[in-house]
Amino acid sequence: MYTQPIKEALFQSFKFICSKYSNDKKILNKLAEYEVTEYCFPNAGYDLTLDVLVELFSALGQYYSTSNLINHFFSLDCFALPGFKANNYKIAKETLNEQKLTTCIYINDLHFTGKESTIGQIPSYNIACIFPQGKIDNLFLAIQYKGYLHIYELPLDDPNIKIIDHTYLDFALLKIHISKTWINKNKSIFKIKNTSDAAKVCLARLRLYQASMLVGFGKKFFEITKQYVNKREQFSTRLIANQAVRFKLSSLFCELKLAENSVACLAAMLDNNHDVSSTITFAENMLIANINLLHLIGPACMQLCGAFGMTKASGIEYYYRLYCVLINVISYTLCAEDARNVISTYQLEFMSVNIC
Amino acid sequence: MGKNDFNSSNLDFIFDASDLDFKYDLCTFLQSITTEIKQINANVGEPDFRQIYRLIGTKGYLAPSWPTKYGGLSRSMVAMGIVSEEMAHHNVGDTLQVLSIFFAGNLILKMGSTTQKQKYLGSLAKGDIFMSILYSEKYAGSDLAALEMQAIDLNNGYYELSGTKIYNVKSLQADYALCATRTNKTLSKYEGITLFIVPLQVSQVKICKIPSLMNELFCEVKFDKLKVHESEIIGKANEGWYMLNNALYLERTGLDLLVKFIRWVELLNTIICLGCCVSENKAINLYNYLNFKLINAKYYVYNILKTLDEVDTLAESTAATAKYYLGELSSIAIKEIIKLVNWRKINNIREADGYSKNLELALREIPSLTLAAGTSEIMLESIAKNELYLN
Repeated sequence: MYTQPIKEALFQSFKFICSKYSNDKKILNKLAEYEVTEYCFPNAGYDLTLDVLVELFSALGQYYSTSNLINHFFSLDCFALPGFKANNYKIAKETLNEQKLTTCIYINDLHFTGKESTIGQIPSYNIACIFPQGKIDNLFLAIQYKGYLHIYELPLDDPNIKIIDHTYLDFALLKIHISKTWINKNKSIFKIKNTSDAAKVCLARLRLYQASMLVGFGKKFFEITKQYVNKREQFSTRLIANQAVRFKLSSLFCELKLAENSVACLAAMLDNNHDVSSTITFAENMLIANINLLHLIGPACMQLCGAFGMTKASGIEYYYRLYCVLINVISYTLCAEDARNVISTYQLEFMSVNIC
Repeated sequence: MGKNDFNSSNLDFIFDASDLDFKYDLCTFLQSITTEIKQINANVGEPDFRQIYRLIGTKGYLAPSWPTKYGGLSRSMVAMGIVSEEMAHHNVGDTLQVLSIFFAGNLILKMGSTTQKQKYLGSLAKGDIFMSILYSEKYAGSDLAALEMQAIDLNNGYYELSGTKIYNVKSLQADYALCATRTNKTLSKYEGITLFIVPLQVSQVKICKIPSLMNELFCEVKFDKLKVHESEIIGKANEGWYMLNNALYLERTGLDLLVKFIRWVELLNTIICLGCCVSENKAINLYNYLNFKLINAKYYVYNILKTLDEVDTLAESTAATAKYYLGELSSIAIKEIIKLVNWRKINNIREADGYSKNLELALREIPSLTLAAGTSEIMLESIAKNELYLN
């Protein structure tokens, strides 16, 4: 376990790297120098805990903002699922060392067909991610089948895999559309048994990364607004002198603190191998709560920043646009067909009321 | 998730092995006195748990974080949290314990003289005596600088206290109280306040009940020339403001509100199990949502308790956040639970009788959640003062 001073030093490094490099690969490169990207392989001799990693994603949200690295880390998590053999670890490490951006799609309902039951057809599938720079280097598919989790590498040059670029506001929103792609079940690169809980924990980690980034995002909104209300004068008084403004920002501060706390709590649950069922439920609720937090804090900060926030002269405008995209993508991912299979019925009903 | 699944809020990983042993022993003990607890809860009127506190105190469980020489078990503040939580699970009302041990006792432990510690702490920890808090006056609630009750220095080692304290609770069940009075009017309103330990069961003190929304009645305490020796001053004369501000975090760890919140979530779980909701799906959704909030809040509060173990103080905004968040959350939780209760059904089920009463009590408690021990608005100002201004 890293000691507190080392953790603090890492946090500062994260903030520095994320604020300085506005490119996924450069950030990945720098993170590799700090050996952070190998966090997920316990047998590699590193024992970086999730409470440290969430700080990284929080810094990403606060200073840079992209979901690519989240997808990348999620893919690595899939590789690191319990039960993998050492050679799998080696393959994964090589992928890491090449610093290729990786995305992993999780499908729960693939049916193998054919005489030998060896090949299966991936149903039509869409995944969305924000893609300001670069492109996906690796695309993996995770499938649950007869108690095993199989991971396949998907060829990006397959004509049935289409990557569609939607320009949304100032950002590129990519949708990966897969249709009628056949795979041979005997050619999975990784295969592990008793995957149900392991795969769910993997998804909980993805939600942790996403939620951490949302917290970072919220912090950025808060910081920009705090600066603004301290400097801006209206009717010869600083905005912060108004009780209504102070109360609004203070209540947002409380929400942010508790959101930060929820992320730390989930990280502790995962680090301590807490009961899987309650960890998964907590992760789902936490992500939804943090999405709702951003729906609260984004518009509220724009309001507090007034007309200034509606112009490109203010940093908040950039973040507000990004918030619109990010929320869209995360909500989309949550509501995607694959996610439905691992989210409880009750949770879905809750989501349909609160999000969709 | 849902029915009969309240254990999902257990966060045992935040406790070490010793804490878990302590929790187990405490639960076993509380289960052994279930009959006595049931009898007290069956009584009409304001609940009086002093008899139960004495039983708990004999084991040292009432103030486990205090040193053994003062009747505690020399454990951490986390153990104090476990006591509050388990008392709630076993239907032991915690108000007088919180006032006596958590607020008054901890303040004496932190700032009192050696004589005061020896005189009061052991008896408080055993449940032999109890203390209430006398800060509020008719025109001084959250703003303690507006206090008017006077204590006149008789220059013979004694002070004479006269005036009225109002809106305090459990004073009729308490033997002593912490009382904030003005001892010097010439100084600024923040200076000249002194904190006394005063006896309540004496002829110069009259305690009247004030009708209240809650089962726990408010009290009005009138002092008529009560003479108190200077050795009963906590800290120094005229430095009460400093004492109170530095000990304010003891009232704002959020622990007391967390315990209430736990009760409401448990209550919702029971209502679902009894089938007394207008919509089971909605109720289970609400339970899931509140359970998430509960785990999150619990993690926050226990981290506060761990911080107190390490540094013995707390950032003002951290404490204010706990108080504000949990107060508002509990208030919202009750309102949402009430909307989903099938009142006709719950009133027709014999075993649901107690729950129906608890729901009604919860509804009456809503206003106090965001008012007592500092209003939500004061918490927001406190956060603003510490977190919003640029250096």
